[in-house]
Amino acid sequence: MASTETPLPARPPDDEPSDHALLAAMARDDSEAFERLVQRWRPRVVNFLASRGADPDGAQDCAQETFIRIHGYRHAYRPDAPFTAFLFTVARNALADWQRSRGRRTRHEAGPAGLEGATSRGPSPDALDHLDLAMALEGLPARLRQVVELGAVRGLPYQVVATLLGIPEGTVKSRMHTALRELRQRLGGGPPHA
Amino acid sequence: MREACPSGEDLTAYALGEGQGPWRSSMARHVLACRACRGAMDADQRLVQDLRALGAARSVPPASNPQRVPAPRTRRWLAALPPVAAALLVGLVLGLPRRQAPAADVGMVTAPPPKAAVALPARLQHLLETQEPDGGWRGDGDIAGADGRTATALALLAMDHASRAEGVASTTLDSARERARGHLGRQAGPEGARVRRLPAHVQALWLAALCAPVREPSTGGAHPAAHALVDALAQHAQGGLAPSAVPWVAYALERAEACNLPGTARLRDLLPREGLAASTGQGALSWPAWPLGTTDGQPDGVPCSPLRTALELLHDQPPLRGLALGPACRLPLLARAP
Repeated sequence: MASTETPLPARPPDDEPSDHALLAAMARDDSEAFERLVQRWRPRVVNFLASRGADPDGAQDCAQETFIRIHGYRHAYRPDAPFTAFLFTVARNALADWQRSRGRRTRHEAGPAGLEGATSRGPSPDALDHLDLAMALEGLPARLRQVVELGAVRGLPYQVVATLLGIPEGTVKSRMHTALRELRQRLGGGPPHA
Repeated sequence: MREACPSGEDLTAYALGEGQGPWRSSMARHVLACRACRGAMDADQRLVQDLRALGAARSVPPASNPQRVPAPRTRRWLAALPPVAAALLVGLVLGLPRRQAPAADVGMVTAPPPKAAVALPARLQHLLETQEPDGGWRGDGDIAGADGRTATALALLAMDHASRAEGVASTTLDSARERARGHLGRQAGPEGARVRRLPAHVQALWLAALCAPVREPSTGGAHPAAHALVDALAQHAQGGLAPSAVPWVAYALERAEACNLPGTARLRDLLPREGLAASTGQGALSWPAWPLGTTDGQPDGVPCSPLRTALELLHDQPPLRGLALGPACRLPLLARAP
């Protein structure tokens, strides 16, 4: 099964907490544990994804998505199997979703990301409701859009966003504020506060 | 904005749910008092809600079960079969006894990941933000006095009622209710010793608040202090209840029965019939000393106190039915309905 395709686990040094210990700490909302887990595993996950056909940008995106999902699973995780089996299953799924999403975009020449649900019969009412917002979001500079995608759209805490993007938490805070102000301006509303 | 106003970055962070208790409490107090900051925070919150809705509307596959089997390969060979054969094969496979899901073997996930924070209705959000670190709410010069004994019970009841009425499920809300019940339980003292000194209408209010309907598994059941309250109310009832207290006792009794609290039958037998009629909305209620709050001067539309918010949320409940809230944050806080 998966074991033949899963990279060998990197054994943490003796003075380092195990992956299971880090997951347990994450379940207590210890964001430092999440940061350590990302630092420990990100390079291997990126390599794994690249070896399975993701281009460099795609591998980075899928690795990020993998860790977002790992973070989402932190309360449901049960340490009764190797963490690596879990991690790389999540990574494989993230890659499969990314490949499907990319295929859909190519076939349908979808517009903004918010309209990925659009079909040949036209976008759903929900998608239409969010058309302006999706376009405004797409128009933001990448450094701001990333923060909004992770912190506002996905609802991740600032510290997790900071870890995923490799930037200080204070930068996330200021970028989020700037991004929301820019979004409001693009949507036709002035900034209510500087 | 005022000189002491938080930065726009802080307001955005607050709108996104960042920060811990003391910081959030201080932000909540400021935002309630400062119209400019409230406007800014509301604008951020609206935009964030739209962004969350945008995320939900996308067809991004949910990060559900990492053990799910990739479907394309199965679909490819299934598509190559004639339709009837494919249907038969699918039927055969579905008819086979299922093996236990493999999640326990190699997977670590037995439940879907927690959903993103629920956007709570504004009044519930207000109650959450004004909850004190000890789990209670403080009245502001109202019937609750300084100890919050009434504001806390009313706020807890309001959260129970509103979350059911509006179909809101939130771990944050559950946690706030647990803390509030814990606070009331501590106020009641060991084995409910302190509740015997309370007036009957306050006892009834506490009893109602400490009994959550059992259909809510995470918060259901009665708090231990509820038993002492039933006993204390029965003693009051034996000596004769004030008419104003009867609808509250009847209301508390309904909730106590809904959470299967023992000993309620005796209390029900002691209640006068006219009180029960009043509790079903036929009569009006006058609290012995309904609040004349000290919140005049707040702009309209601003939540002026947790007590007021709780009353707004509970206005259709039997003990309060027949009473209307006065204009926002103006005196009197409550007025009899025309």
